Amino acid sequence: MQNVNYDDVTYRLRSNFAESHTRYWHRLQSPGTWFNSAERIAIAQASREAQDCTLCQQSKAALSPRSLTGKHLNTTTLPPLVVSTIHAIVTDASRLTQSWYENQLRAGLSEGQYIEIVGTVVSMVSIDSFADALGIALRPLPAPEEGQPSHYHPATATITENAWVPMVDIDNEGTPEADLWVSGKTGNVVRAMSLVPDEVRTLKDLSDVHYLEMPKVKQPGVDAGRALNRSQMELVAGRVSALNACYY
Amino acid sequence: MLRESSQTHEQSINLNAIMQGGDAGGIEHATTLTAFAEAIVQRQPGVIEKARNDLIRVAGDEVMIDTAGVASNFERMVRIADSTGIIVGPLDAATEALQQTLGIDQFDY
Repeated sequence: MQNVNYDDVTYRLRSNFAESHTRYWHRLQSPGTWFNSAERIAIAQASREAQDCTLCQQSKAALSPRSLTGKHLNTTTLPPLVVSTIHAIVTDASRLTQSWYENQLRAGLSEGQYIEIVGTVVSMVSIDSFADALGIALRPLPAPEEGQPSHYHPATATITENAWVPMVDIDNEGTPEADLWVSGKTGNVVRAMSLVPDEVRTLKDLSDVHYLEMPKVKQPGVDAGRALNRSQMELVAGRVSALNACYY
Repeated sequence: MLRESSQTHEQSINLNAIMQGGDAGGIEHATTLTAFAEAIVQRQPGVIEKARNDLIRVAGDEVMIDTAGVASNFERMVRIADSTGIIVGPLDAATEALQQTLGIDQFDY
């Protein structure tokens, strides 16, 4: 298993950044729920390449999203459908629509594959933008390992009016997904990727280190014991969300 | 969350800084924090470097690192929300009014 280290960082960096990023690297190089290890690492590579994709830059500047035709920057062996999905989430997420999502399914992606792509892409965006912020090189991706995806499907996952995608029921007590949140008490943004429960586990692990432990998120008076107080954290969070044109 | 955390900390703040940037009022280092957050989203290395150094100069490297952590976390969260079509859920009247005042309601679901 390949670890992430930040030995080249000259600032005083909390050790839990490297620890949580290492846990993600280990997950990334293991077989997932719908993709094998090599495919997962290719998704990670494609999410990096999206940032430099000329077609995506032109599409983002166009009045109508995804109206241009052409080839995405891609050095992976992933099918074009997967690459275009990854690039859209990385570069133009605020203009994604339910009809676009349903088109991706009609073109051949399964709901589970879509969520695993989302989970991989957003983890990479987070870890890579942290490196960019510190002015250091992106960490090398791990090497693939053997094994097959589990094809696990949570029994309570269904589509509701709360999202385009199927989600595990908020009342999760007594189910294999009971560790994802306290039964009956969580937001849709935590439930969003629960069709692939390991994506929620990664979300929690990374968020605990980058932002706040989940139980503290809905307690606005609680500080995380970090260098930023809670108001400063929420100011940064709100500004990033606004710049991304995110309603949430 | 910013409104509620500032009330808990008895801070007087300008919530328009969320949408427009700049000075947020009673939050320490607000302008430098948001400048660094904006640079991270815009992904221009030279701009990031300047904003990072400005923040270190006024607040220290631990504040800079935690700001990088939070900003990169929300680069993830916004994409989860946008790519899964989740709804915010029922809003209380005060939050709904605030969304309209700040212009957050202009963003598509």
